[in-house]
Amino acid sequence: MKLEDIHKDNIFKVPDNYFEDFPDRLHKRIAEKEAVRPTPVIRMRTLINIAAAAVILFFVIYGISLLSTRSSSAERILSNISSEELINYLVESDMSTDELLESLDISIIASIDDPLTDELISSDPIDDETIDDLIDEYEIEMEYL
Amino acid sequence: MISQALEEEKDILKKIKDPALRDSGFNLLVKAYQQRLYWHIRKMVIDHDDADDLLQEVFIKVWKNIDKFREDSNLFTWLFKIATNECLNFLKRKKSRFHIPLEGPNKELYARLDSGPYISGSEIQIKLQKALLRLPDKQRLVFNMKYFEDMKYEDISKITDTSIGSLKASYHLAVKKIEEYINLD
Repeated sequence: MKLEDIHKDNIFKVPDNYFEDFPDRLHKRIAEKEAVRPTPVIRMRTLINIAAAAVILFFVIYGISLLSTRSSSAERILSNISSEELINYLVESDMSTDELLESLDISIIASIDDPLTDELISSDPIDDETIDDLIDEYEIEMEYL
Repeated sequence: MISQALEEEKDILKKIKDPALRDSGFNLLVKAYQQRLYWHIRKMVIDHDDADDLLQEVFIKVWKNIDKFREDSNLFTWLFKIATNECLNFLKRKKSRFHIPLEGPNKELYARLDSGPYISGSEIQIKLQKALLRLPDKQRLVFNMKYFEDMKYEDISKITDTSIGSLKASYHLAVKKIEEYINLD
């Protein structure tokens, strides 16, 4: 038997009104997906907290090391402590990001006249859509909803 | 006929680019292509529910990425490329989930041909589909597009990023394997 001897009929069927109803069902699914779009951003909270803690830690250490050149005895003492020791202290102290934020004097950062600091402060954050796309692309499953 | 289809594509894209008409433009796109994309997917995944899920996924991807679509390319080719990738990834995931060798026949889909809902054909037509399931997924895809969907090699080449020569060889070999299988017993 040759292939052309077989009738080319479509053996696959669809439920009644499937194609008539499909656009509406799709529209609803897209609307549902868009309604839950903020969710991945909430899931990203942990990552954002870690990133924020790292930035704050940087500012604290960087600010202290710059100010250590000024004549404050406490700062002079702190300037003798290595960055590694400070990082270890902050890591072991179990301080949350919020506590770190509260304890940080923003005026210290503002007073630092340094191109690197300006660049860090002015760099564009990742927008929500980019985060969503990254999550979709890499199918990141976060444990926090 | 071809220029009419191109005009329709242009009209759909023009509407989608206009924020005020985006929804209705997308609706036109769905209505214009849903059937061809569905049958393309269905022949690959066999099961209606899987095909339905994948068709929705394809259109959601289209909705999210339509702004990235370059107007100098062909909308039909772009849509089929997305659907094809979705199908191949789905089949790969499924084989890995059911521990089926990637190159072996998909027995799970065999069973669907015998007892799945929304399938009805003569014995020889079912046997033809079973013969197709013995082909590697990419070769089955090429065969379906050429034999059932009557697509030009030029279009299949753009969708699969494969040379026309390789596609012709793949189709020829597929026909040979299928005829060998249906003539067994």
